[in-house]
Amino acid sequence: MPIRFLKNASEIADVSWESPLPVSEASKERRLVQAERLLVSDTTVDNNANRDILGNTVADQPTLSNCLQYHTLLWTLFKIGADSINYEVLARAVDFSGAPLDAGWRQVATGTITGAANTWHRIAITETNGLYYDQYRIRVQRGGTADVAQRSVIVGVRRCARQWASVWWWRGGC
Amino acid sequence: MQEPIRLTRRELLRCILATPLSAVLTGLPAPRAHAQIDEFSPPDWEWLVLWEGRALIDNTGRDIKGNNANAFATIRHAVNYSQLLWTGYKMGRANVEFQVYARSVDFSDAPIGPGWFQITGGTIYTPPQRWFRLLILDGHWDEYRIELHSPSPQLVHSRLLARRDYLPK
Repeated sequence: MPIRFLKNASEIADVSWESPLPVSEASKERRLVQAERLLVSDTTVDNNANRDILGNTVADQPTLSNCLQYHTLLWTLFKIGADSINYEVLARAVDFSGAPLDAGWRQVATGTITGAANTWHRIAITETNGLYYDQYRIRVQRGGTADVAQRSVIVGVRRCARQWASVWWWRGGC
Repeated sequence: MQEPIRLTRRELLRCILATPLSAVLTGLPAPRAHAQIDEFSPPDWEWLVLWEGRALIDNTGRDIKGNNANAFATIRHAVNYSQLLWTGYKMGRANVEFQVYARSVDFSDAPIGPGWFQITGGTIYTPPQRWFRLLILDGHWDEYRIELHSPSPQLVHSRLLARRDYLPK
């Protein structure tokens, strides 16, 4: 005897490949957090204050785009040279056509990467309630007198921000 | 006058047995309690077993799998894991020093540089045949290496779990 179920208000259907048993929408929409490798670069950092980690020196050019989903960016850097590297992480939002809302950038992080040659470094770029900007520009400039070769990987992390978890729970959303 | 309904014994039996079941399956509303539980209390994360096994650990810098080539990763393709949980069982008396390393790779899975970034390290002082546990909070690296040193060779059993977080709906 086939198993039957109430498909909608008036239709009773047999369970089959074409009409499987309904499942909760809540379960279907659950997604695992995806941490994705967004960028890999292999560039030399010089004294140009406008150079980003892809080597681009056009100040308005983003290093990363379509990043709205990411709560945090994890920047892993392997510094080949011995001199330090000054960095500045800039961010901005875009409109529905993908154009920046206005000129310029908002600074979200800045600092100096120090250490011997051939050393690993990791910088977690985030804000209290998460980043969730559309575009980023990661500018790098040598801190000393010698150019510094480096290799970088940027990983974007989608995350349920812990500080908002209770709100989502209350709204039945998390 | 209406014709009487004639049923064979087989049809009568089918009515008695099948009708209540089909009524339950089709006519009554499905219990909502389970759906509500699913909706309001989903898991925030899950733990996955990445590796389980044992290795004879000496003083040559072997990882928990027993590999003493420093360039080899203990765990690869780990960028989606926010934490690692290493549970172990030390058979010998000697203390075991551990170092947890990590590194990133490029799109061809080659490390972006030689060596490793050290996440944490320490010493396991538990007596022989005791459990220990280490939570590694620095997540979302591509590759990890858990390297051990023991002055005298001993078996170390390990179970390595990784945590995957869920997104909100």
